[in-house]
Amino acid sequence: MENIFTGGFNIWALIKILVSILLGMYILFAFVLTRQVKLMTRTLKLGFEAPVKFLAFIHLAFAILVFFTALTIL
Amino acid sequence: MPDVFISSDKETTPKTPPVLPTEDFQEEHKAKGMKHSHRSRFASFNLYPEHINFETRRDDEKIILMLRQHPVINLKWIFITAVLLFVPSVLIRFGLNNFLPSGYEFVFSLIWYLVTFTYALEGFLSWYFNVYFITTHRIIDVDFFNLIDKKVSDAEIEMIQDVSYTTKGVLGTALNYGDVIIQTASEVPEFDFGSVPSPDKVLKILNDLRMKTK
Repeated sequence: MENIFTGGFNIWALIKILVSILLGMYILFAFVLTRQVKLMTRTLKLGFEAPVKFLAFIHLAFAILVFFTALTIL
Repeated sequence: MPDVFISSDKETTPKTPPVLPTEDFQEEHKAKGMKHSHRSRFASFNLYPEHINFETRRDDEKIILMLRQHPVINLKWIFITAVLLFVPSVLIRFGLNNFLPSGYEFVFSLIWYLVTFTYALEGFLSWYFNVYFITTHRIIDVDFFNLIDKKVSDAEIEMIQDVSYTTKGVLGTALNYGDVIIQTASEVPEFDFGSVPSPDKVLKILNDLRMKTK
């Protein structure tokens, strides 16, 4: 019997597209987060600005890395 | 004929908010056993902090107290993050990921760690940027939540009508932290300094300030 895995329709291809779209949106979110952290560190000087900005930047870099890994491997 | 009534000169300069003699106030608090904070950048109770500032601070305004939630509040997100970090390993160990095609397992693990990282970052930043200031002029509440939302409210000291605090639960009692509720006559009717350390001292400082501004 033909099912969705053996037929013409490949569910994993659909998942790949969905994952790529979601990760693309995630990059946008991570970028907005870095902007927000930058604004917050400008508003409040609490003595830990550089490491906090670095954390937000690492988060953005990680999101981009995961996006490209997903595009390459899936 | 001598003047019966001599009117004083009319005040032409606008009334400025009273500036408290911070140094005297500082000495007073020192005498009461409240010491100047020289602790780490992550301290939750900073009395007369020297290296802390905020954008809207006025020139004649001095920070008396900077507060944030008690560090024990962080245990929740730290514990959940630790659990989340082990989830992919547990799934692999028990073979629950066998239905995934090759490559997907690795990518899904990466996505899982990305989400975990975001969760931990949200926990830390929400704690770090959620601060409360008591200055010589105002109380300021900076709320940072959901990573992309923030709210900053302030009220003049003279507008404070009532201050109370509550200490809840075993941890709150054991570690002496609680919520300080400040009722004001300003645009924001109530300020909630949530889970701050030594709420009794905060209350005392606020009451002292109110007495001095009257």
